[in-house]
Amino acid sequence: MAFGSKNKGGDIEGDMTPMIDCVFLLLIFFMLISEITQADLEQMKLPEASMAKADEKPPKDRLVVNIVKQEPNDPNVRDGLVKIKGKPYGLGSRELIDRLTIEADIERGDRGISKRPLLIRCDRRVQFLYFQQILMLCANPNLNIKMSKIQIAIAKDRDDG
Amino acid sequence: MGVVQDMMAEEAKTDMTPMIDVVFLLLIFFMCMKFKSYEKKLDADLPEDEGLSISTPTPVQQLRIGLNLLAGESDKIQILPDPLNEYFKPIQWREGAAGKREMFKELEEQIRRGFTYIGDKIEVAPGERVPFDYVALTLDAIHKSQDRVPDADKKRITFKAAPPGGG
Repeated sequence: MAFGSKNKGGDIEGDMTPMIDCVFLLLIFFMLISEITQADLEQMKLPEASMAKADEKPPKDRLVVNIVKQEPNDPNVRDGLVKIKGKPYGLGSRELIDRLTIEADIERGDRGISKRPLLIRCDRRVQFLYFQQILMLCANPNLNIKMSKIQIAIAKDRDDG
Repeated sequence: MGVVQDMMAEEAKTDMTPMIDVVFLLLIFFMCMKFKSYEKKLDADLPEDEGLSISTPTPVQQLRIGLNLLAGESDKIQILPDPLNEYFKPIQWREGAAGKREMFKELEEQIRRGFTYIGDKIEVAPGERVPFDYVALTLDAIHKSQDRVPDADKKRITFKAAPPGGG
C-alpha cells in the first residue's frame, strides 16, 4: 500500500535539457562539417553542357582551382580571380606557380608527371584567358607542375532531378 | 470525496517549450544546410609528354574552331572554323538564348557531317577575352557530334593558345 500511494502521487517528468544540448551540438557539428567540405568550392555560375558526366565519386586527392568572376570598377582591370582553398592568387604569379608545384608534388608518377587530378571550376562569364593560363602552367615543360589529368566543372542540369 | 478532489486538482500538464525549442533548432538546421548537389565535369586530359604544342596545323586534315568576339562587344561571338577547311562554314552571332543554342547546334551538325574528313584531333582556339561559357558549349558540341558518329574513332581535343590581347 505504501508503494501504491507513492506512485499515484508522483508525476513522471522528463528533463529535456540534455536533449536540447545534444541537438545544439549536432547542429554546430553539421554546420562546421558542411563549411569544411565546401571550402574548396567557391560560389560561381558554372557553364552548362549536356554531355558532361556526373561527378559522383570525386577523387579524394583532387585539387580544385576556382576561377571566380569579379566586377572591377576599372574596365582595364581583368575580371577574374584564381582561388585555391579560399586563397586568392594573381594570374601567373610566383605564388600561384609555387602553390601548384607543391600540390602537384604530393603524388608524382613516371617522368615526374603528377598523378593528382585537377578540377578547374571556371565561372561561365570569366574570360578564357584565365583557363588558358592555368592549362599553360600545368603543361609548361619548364615548370615542375606537370599536371595532366584535367577536369572542367560543369553545372548540374536544371532538369536533371 | 477527498480523493476525487485531489484527482481533479492534478490536471495533466504538458510543457511545450522543449518541443518548440527542438522544432526551431531543426528549422534553423535545415535552413542553414546546403543540400549537396553534385556538379558535372568534362574530362580534358593534357598530353603527358608533349608540353606546349609547337606543331604546325595541317590544313583540311585538322579542324580548328576559332571563337572570336565581335568588334566592340564583350559577350557576342562568331564561330570561325579553319578557313582552309572546305567542309566547315563560319557561324555568325545570333541574339537570345535560342539563338545561342542554334549556333552551337549548327556547329555540332557541321562537325558531324565533316567528321570523317577531320584528322585525329580537333583544335579549339578561343580568343583571350571570350567568355568561358562559349568554350564549354563548343566542347559540348564536339562531344555531341562524336556521340552521333558511334563507329568513328574519337578525336583528341586540344586548345590553341590565343595571341595576347586577342578577342
